[in-house]
Amino acid sequence: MFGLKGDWSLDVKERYFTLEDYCGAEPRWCTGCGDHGILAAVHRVCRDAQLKPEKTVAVSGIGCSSRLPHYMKTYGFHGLHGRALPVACGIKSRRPDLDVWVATGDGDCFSIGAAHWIHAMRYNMDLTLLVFDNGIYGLTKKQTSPTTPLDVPTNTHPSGALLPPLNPLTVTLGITNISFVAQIVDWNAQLRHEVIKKAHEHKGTSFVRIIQRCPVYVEAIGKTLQDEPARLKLLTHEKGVQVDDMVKRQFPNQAEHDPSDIHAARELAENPNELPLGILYQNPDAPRYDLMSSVGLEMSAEEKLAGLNEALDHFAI
Amino acid sequence: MDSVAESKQPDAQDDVSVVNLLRRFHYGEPAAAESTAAPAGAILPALLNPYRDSSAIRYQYPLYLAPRGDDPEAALARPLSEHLSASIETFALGPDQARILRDNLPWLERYLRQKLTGPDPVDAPPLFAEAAAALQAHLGLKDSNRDSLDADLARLQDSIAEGSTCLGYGPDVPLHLLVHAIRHRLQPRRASLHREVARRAAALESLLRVERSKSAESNQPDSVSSSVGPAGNLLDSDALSGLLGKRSHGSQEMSQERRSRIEWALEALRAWDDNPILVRFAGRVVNPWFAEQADVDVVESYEACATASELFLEDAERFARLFAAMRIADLEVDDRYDPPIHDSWFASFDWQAFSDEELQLITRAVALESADYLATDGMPTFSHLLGSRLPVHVVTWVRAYDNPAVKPGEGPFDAYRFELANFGIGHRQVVVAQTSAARHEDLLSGFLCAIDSNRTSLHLVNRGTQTKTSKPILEPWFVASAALESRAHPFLLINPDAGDHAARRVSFDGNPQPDADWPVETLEYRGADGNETTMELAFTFADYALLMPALHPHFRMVPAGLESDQLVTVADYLAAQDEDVDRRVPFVWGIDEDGVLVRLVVSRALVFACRDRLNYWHSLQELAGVQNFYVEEAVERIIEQQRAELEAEREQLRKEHAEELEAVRSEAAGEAMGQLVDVLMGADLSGMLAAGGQQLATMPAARPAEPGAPAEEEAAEAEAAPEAVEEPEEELSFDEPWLDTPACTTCDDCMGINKMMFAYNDDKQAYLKDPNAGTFEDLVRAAEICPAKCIHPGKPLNPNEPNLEELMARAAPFN
Repeated sequence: MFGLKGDWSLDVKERYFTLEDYCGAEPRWCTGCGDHGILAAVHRVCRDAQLKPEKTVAVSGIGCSSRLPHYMKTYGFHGLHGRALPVACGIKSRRPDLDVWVATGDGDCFSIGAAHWIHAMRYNMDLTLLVFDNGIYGLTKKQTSPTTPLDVPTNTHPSGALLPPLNPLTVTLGITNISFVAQIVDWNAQLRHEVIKKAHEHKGTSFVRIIQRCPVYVEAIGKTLQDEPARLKLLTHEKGVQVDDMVKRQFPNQAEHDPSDIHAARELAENPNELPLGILYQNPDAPRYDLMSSVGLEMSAEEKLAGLNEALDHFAI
Repeated sequence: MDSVAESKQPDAQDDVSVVNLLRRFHYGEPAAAESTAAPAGAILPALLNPYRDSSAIRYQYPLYLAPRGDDPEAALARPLSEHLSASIETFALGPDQARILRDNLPWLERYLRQKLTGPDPVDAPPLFAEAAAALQAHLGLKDSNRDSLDADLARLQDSIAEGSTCLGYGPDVPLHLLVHAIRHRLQPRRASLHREVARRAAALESLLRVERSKSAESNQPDSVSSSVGPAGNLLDSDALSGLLGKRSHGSQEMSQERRSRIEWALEALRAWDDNPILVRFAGRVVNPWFAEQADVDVVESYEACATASELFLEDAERFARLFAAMRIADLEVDDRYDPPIHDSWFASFDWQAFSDEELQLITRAVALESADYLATDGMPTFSHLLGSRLPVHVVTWVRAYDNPAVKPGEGPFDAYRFELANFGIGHRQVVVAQTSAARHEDLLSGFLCAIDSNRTSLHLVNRGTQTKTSKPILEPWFVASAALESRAHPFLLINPDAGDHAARRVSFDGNPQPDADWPVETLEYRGADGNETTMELAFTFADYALLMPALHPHFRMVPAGLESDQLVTVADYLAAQDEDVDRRVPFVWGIDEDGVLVRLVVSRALVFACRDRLNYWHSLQELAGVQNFYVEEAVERIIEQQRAELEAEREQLRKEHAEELEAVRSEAAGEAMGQLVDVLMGADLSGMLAAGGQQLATMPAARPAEPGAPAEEEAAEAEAAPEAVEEPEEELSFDEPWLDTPACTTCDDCMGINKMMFAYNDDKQAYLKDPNAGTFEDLVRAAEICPAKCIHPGKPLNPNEPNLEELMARAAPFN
C-alpha cells in the first residue's frame, strides 16, 4: 500500500555492535582446532542479529568446547560436567528475555549429560545448543568418548574403540517434542554459519551437532571426512538452509530433504555410510516449556504470596 | 458513549434495536445521531494502522534533488534513501562489504529526515558531512571499525554532488519541485541562448565593420596604415590610400535603411540583459524562500490567473525584441532580408510568432490560486486563461475530501463535487495534471510535461497538509497517499501534444489497482480466539474520510460484539444490486489507538459521496481505456462472432468427414465382396485357408517408415554426438598467491604460521595481508595445513628462496 517498497520499515539501531563487542578473552584452543571456527560463527551470528551483549548468555559444561563462554564478551556460565543444559534451562525459565547459547561436547552432552540432553530436548526451551563433537575427550588427553569411531586408538582403548559409536542424530530424532535438529562440519564456513544462524532464529531448542576436528589427538577423523566428501550428504530444500554453488561443489553428494518430514529425517540419520549435513528436522510449532514456566514472572512478591495463600486456602480445614 | 466497546455483550433483542438506531443515524435522523457514539480518540482506517508511527517508516521523502548534470534524462529527484542505498552499491560489493554503514543507514536516514523538517531544500554536501560525523559519534567505534566506517562514509559522500539539495516533505514541496524542474529545463537553454546572442552580435558587427571600411574616411592613409597592423610601415600608405579611393566601382555601400536595421538589431542584441529570472509566481506565496531566490520572482496578486497572463506577456514582449533581432541578424548575415516581405512581419512580431524553441526560452509564468476560488468567483478569468493558448501554468491546491464549489456554510457532501480536472479537460488543449505531492515522480512528470509543451497547463495538487479544521491523525504524506488510494484524488495526466485521441493523451499510471473499483488490501489481525487471521478490505472514500476529524460527524461507532447481517462494508453496500440494499447499514473498519478493531457506520451523505467518487473514477477509467465499456462490449461481440464462425466451420468439417467415411466404407465393402466372390468362384479354398483372414484386410494400412534415410540420419547423429561432449575444464592456475576468504573456517592454522602474512577481516575470516611478509615456504605450509584448502600459494615471489623446486611441487595441488 502507498507505493511503499519492500524495505519500508526503517530499522534504526539505537545501539550498534561490532564483532569485537562479542569477543571475550583470547581463545586458548590448539591451533587448527575446529572450535575456533565455531566461535567465529557464533560471534558473527550475534553481530548479524545485533544481540545485546548484556542480554546474551553463553552456558557450558566441561571440556574443550566448554571454554566458549570465556571467549564471549557476554554473560556466561561455565558449569559442571554434563550440566550445561540444566543451567541453561534454569536461566531461560526465569529470564526468558535472555538469548541463551549452550556450548557442550560429545563427552559432556552424550555421556555424563545424556539425561539432561534427553529432557532438555523434550522441554524445547528457546536455546541454541551447539554440540562440538570431535569424537574424543580432548581436554583430558585422549580418552574414548561416546562418538569415538570403532578402531580409533585412545588412551582408554589403546587398541581402538571397542563399541560402535553412539549416533546422536537418531537419539535426538527419537525424543518426544524435539523441534530442531541439524548437523554440520566445522570446515565449511558458509554452511556452518547458515545453520547456526537458522538454529538461533528458531524458537525452541535448536540442536546442532558439529562434527569438529581435533588435529592433536584424532586428526584422522576429520581428515578422512575431508578427503572423502562422498561420505557427507548435503541436504537441500527451500525450507532448509540456502547455500551458494561454492558449498554445493564442495559437497557433491546432495539430497532434497524437507525438514518438516521427521520420518525422512530419521532415515537419513540412520544411514551408516553417509553423514547428512544441514537441517534434518524443524517444527516451529512444538510446545515450549519456557513459555509455560515463565508465566507470572511479572507478578510482585505480594501478588505471588496472595496467590499462594489463595491456593492453599483450598486445602485449609 | 465512547465506552461502547466496553459495554456488556448485547443480547439478540438489543442487537436489533441498536442496528435500527444506527440505521436511523445513517438516514440522517438527528435524534439517532445524538444517541449513538461518534468516533473518539485516534481511530484510523483499519488498513492504515501500520502507518500510525511514521518515524519508523521509510517513504519517498526526504528527496535528493540532483543538480543538472551532463545527462538531461537523469532523474531530477529521487528518494534520499534510494540514492544512498544505490550509492553504497557502487563501491561495496555484496552485503558483507561496508557492513557497518549498511547496518546504520536507517539511522543516517532518520537523522537526515529529522534535520529536514523545514519547508525548504537544504544543501546536501554539508548536511551529509554533519550526518556522517553524527553517526561516528553515535557509534563510538574504535580502531579498524572506525577507520573502515570513515572510509565508507567518505565514499558515500562522494556520491552527494556539489550543488545537490535535500528536501523534506512539507506544504511547499510542489513549488520547490516546480522550481527545480524549471531550472533543469531552462538553465541550459538560457546558457545556449546567450551564446547564440553573442554569436549573432559578432556577425552583425562584422557586417558593419566591412561597411565602414568602404567609407572615404577609412581610405585615408592613417586608417589604411593602422588597418594593416604592425606591418603598416612597410607599405606606402599614401599610394594604397589613393588606390583604394579609386575602387568604388567594385563595391557598393549598404543602403541607409539596411544599415539602420542592422544597427537596430545589433543594439537589441547588445541590450539583452542577462536577467536570471526563470520563473514568476503570481498569487500568494507565503514562504519567503522563493522571493529570495535570484531566479524566482514573486508577484502578489488576488487574481493570479490574470496576473500570470500579464507577466507572461511582459516577458514575451521583451523576448520578442530579442528574437526579432536574432532573426534579422540571421537574414542579414545571409543577405536574405527582403523588406517587402520581412518589414511587415517584424513590425507585428509577438509571442504568437515564436517558434516552439523560442517559446521554451521564455520565463515561466505560474498562477497560484486556491481551488475554492477557481471553482467559484475566479472561474471566468480562469476559464479565459485556459482558452488563451498562453503557456502559463496554473497550480492549485486541492483538498481531496472537499468540494471546491460549495458556498460558505455548506458541507462538502451537500452537492456533487465540482471536478476541476474535468473543467480543464473541457478546454481541450490544456495540459491537465491531477497529481499528489506524495508521489514526486508523478508530480514532476506533470510539471515537465507542461514545461516541455507550449500550452497552458493546469496542475491540481493534493498535499495532505490542508484541512479546514483539526489536523488528521497521520502525517501529511500518508494523508495525501490515502487520498490517492481511496480514489478521492486519482492521478491523471492529459497531454494534448500526444494526439487527438484520449488513448494517446491520457496517462493513468500511478493509480493503485487501476482495474478495480477500490484498491483491496489484506488486513492481518488477531481474532477474538487469539489466532492470527486475515481479511481482504477495500480502501474506499469513506475510509479516507475517517482520517478527517472534520468529517467525524458522518461516523458512528458500532457497539463491540454487535452481530447483524444488516451491517455490511461500504464497498459491499455500493456493489450490491438487490432490492434490499436500502435496508442494510454500511460501515467501515477502523482500529483505535489500543489496536482494537472497531466498526463505524457511515452517514447516507457520505455513502452518496462515495458513490460520486466511484462514478468519477469510472469515468476516468473509461477515459484512460481501463474497464472501457465500449471496448468490453466490442471484445465480447467479436468473441461471440468468432465462436459462431468456428462452430459453423467445425460442423461443416464434421459433415464432410462423415460423408467421406461413408464413401470409403462403401468402396471397401464392394471390394471385399468382389474378392470374396473371386475366391469362391476360383474353387481353390486351400489358399484362402492358408492365408488366414488376412487376405480380407484390404483397408489401406499405415505406411511403414521408409527404411534407410531416417535411420541413417539417426546413426549419423549418434556418431556426431560424442563430438559434442564437453571438453574437460581447463585447470586454472594463478601466479599470484591468493586466499579464498569466504571459505576460511577460522581455524587459526595459518595465523600460527605467520601472523604478518595472514590476518582476519571483519568477519574473522583470514585474508592474505602481505604475501611478502614471509617466505614461499610459509605459504605452502599454510596451504597444506588449511582445512578449507582456501590458501593458494601461486608462484614464489622471491626467486632466491632455497628449495624452490620442492616447494613449487608441494604448492602445485593448491594452485
